[in-house]
Amino acid sequence: MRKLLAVTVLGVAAFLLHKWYNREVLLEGEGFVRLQSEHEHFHFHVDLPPGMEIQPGDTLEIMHLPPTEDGRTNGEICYRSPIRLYKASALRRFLTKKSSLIEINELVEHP
Amino acid sequence: MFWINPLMMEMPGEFSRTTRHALKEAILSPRFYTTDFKAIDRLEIDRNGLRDEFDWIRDEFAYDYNRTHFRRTDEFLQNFDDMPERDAFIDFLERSCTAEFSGCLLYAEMVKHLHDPTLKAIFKYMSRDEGRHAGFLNRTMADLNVALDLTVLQKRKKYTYFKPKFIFYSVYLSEKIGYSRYIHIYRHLERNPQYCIHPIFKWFEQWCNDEYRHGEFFALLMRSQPEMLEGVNRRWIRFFLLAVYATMYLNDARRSNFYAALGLDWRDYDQRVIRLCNDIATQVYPETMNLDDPRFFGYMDKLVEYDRKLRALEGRNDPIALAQSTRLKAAIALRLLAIYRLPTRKTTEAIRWKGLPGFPNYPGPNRPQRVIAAD
Repeated sequence: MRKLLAVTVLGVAAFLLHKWYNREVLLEGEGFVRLQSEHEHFHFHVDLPPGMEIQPGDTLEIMHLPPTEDGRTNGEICYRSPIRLYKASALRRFLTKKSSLIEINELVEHP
Repeated sequence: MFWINPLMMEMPGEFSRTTRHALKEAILSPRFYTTDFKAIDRLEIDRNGLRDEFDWIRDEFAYDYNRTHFRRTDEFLQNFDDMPERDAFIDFLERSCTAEFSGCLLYAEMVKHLHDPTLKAIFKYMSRDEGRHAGFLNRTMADLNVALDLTVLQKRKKYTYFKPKFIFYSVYLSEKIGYSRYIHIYRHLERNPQYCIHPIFKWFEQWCNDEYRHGEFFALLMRSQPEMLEGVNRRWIRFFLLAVYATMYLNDARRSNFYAALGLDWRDYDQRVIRLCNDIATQVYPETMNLDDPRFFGYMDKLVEYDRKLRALEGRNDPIALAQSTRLKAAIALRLLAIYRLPTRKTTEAIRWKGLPGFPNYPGPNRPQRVIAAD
């Protein structure tokens, strides 16, 4: 009986941690996107509206991308687009900060 | 100077895009970083009287040595349908473009968040350089009928976090090893033009000067914060040296055919690249890897051997394969630990990197005149 109780408690705790980890708060707004994908330059920047700030673990989604030919632009494209910022839970933020060394290859890879 | 292998050239007039190869789609997956921007903003770069040197390096970037360098010539319009290792070359372009683009994004983020006008300007110039490099690679991929899937930029992007000091250690090394890689390829093809499979390699000499200059800035930034180079941070330095060298060694071993097409033995090439980068790193790091210890490259070769065996198991899910895979991963981890624990080479004034010949170095606080340009 004790074992069953312990397993149940652990299961519930794991479920709650999982729910906490995946919990997100959605912020919506309008961002200003600058995209250039051609010979002269290749860049992509998004200015977020005031009050929106990206923190570790957050994810950003840009809702609009104008059509391009084979992924190339003709000069720089500047446009306003609705954006969604999914704010990570405190748990995910903490783990993202602590686990960065696991993703070290992202920083050290080079051509 | 070198030229294109005439065997690769198509009939006159048949230039522009390749036609025989189907349109390929490249998916660039640039890295999106966050860091403690406030901590970087709080760095007192005046603390050790280096403000003048920061201003000088900012002016170096403002001078924009490569403003007119990335202009294409008719050589790029040849048909490269039959070039050797075409797919490996496209893979090289993709990875290079991703790395340059990631650098562009990281530096642009710094510009957004920093307040010190000198640092802000420097990161802006470096973002300009990386974006320019990425654009040049982007266009070269277009020549080879490779489309870019830009929708990956639009989709949900996760932001990874790195401590500022980790970014400084690793990006410094990444810039310097990038320089070392490009200049070795350039010099090799200059001596052996028959292996120049694409004209883009002819642009590498001045291109890699940008990488070198970026590395100079990070060296200066770390010198302005001496605590980053002392105490427990020495272990982090060793960790990043090993991470950069081992990543490159394993990646290049997997792509040995591509280097063979350039007439390079990947192992010899990598060892020379690592030696140069390690020597350059003495300009700022108090210790570097002791590459004269035969165990260093002996262990690195073991890593390659384990990695080859590991890749041979890919696609198998049986228990024996899983057990072997676990054993090999553990062997790689232990071997990396063994390399990490090897005695390091302490930096002394006798071995400290003095700079590249002909490359601008800080002329001193009075700056009597502009130093001769790197290029």
